[in-house]
Amino acid sequence: MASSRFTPFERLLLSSRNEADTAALLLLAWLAMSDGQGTLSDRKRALLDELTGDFRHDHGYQLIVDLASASDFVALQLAAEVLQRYYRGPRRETFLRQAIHVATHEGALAAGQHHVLRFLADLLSVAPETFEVLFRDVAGYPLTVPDDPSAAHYWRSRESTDHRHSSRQGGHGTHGEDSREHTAGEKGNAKDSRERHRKERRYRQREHSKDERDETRRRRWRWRWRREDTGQREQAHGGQHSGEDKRRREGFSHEGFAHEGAQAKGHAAGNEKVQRALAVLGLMENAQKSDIKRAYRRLAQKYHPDRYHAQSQEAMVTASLRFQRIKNAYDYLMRQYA
Amino acid sequence: MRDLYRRLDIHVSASDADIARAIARCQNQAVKTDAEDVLRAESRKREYDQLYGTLTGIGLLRARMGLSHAPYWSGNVANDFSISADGEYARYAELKAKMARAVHVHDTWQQVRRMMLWSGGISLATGIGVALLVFAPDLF
Repeated sequence: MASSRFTPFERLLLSSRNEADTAALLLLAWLAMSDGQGTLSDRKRALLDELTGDFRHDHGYQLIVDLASASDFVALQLAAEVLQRYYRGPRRETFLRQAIHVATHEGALAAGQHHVLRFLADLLSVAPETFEVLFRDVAGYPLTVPDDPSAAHYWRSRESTDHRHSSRQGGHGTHGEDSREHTAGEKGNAKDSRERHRKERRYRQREHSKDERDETRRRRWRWRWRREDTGQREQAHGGQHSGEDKRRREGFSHEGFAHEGAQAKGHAAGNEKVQRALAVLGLMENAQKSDIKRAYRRLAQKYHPDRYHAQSQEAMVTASLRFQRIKNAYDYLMRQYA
Repeated sequence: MRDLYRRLDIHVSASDADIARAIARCQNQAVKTDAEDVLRAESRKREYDQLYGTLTGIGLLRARMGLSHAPYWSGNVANDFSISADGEYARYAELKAKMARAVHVHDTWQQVRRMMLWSGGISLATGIGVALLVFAPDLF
């Protein structure tokens, strides 16, 4: 049995009027103090007071400050669990806004605060896209990648900028060697950031075009569906036997392609099937074999039932049916192209 | 951010001499240069250690709360600061269990006290009756 004495933070929680507010206060204090200085300055305390004015906790601050400055991870875990339990929906965003405000109040985000903020976002299961929007909204600049103090070049570039600052303040010139070093460092820095920006932009473009591609594919897919549907209705009007019609309307049911070999009737029917199979894989009529393979791999990765393993039974079944359909379409096409 | 201590295979609290030895021993050139630059300078090491502490704690919290595969835990940080789940209990559930135990103890104590009061009262009354019977039989 674990120790049955109550820890100070547990007692605080129990005596608090609102557990969630007490927990949030502790986490915010931790965030404010993980800026590398490890103390809660008066300004930060005033900010916390201001932000948490409507918190209903009814207790002093001192214990919270002590816990946060000692990085008591037992207390922090308890606070995080309470927060996760009570904060749902829009309340999460309000809290994250407060957190971002606390972290960015005094200039740039410290490396530790980067990681704590990301932890809080993950804790409340706020997706990175949402969190980045929130961050830009509150801080006024985009969320960047945190610095890496375990790398030598971080220190070199940082100390060269520090040096430049101090020499400018001191008002005396630098030695040749120093200035050379610092320009090199600065150049490296500038290059780094330019590189990063370029990468970001490229990434965005890629994402964007991917979205567009997805959208056009979906549209094409819908259009194809409609066309086929009307075609079938016409056929039905024309007195076609309804068994096959039904099967076709079901689309690419999981047996749809499996028994194709036995049923292959003329060329026209085969062609239509190829088109439908291509549509399942989201491809145009004139797709090459390599395109098919690539599309299949991508879709299989996306819709593999193993990915839905953690979700409900129903999601799992849907996923495996969908995957089966994709696989059947692919197998059929491979037989056709072979 | 990488865990230089783990990569050098030493503990955070290792002495300067141990760190120097570990760096000399290190085979990986990149880690070697970085460790030389970061851990051998007093002020840099202090700052590195502070961030190291924060990240170790976050790694621990994430492992215990099942957040070690969340989207913001990736790259070098996740590689170096993730620990395997150590079978730790959930703190909130623990708090609730403690509360339940405390309530139980409180209730039991109240019951025992009531019983003691009753039995005390009864035995006191009996004692007085017996005493009266013995010492002042004239009253009856």
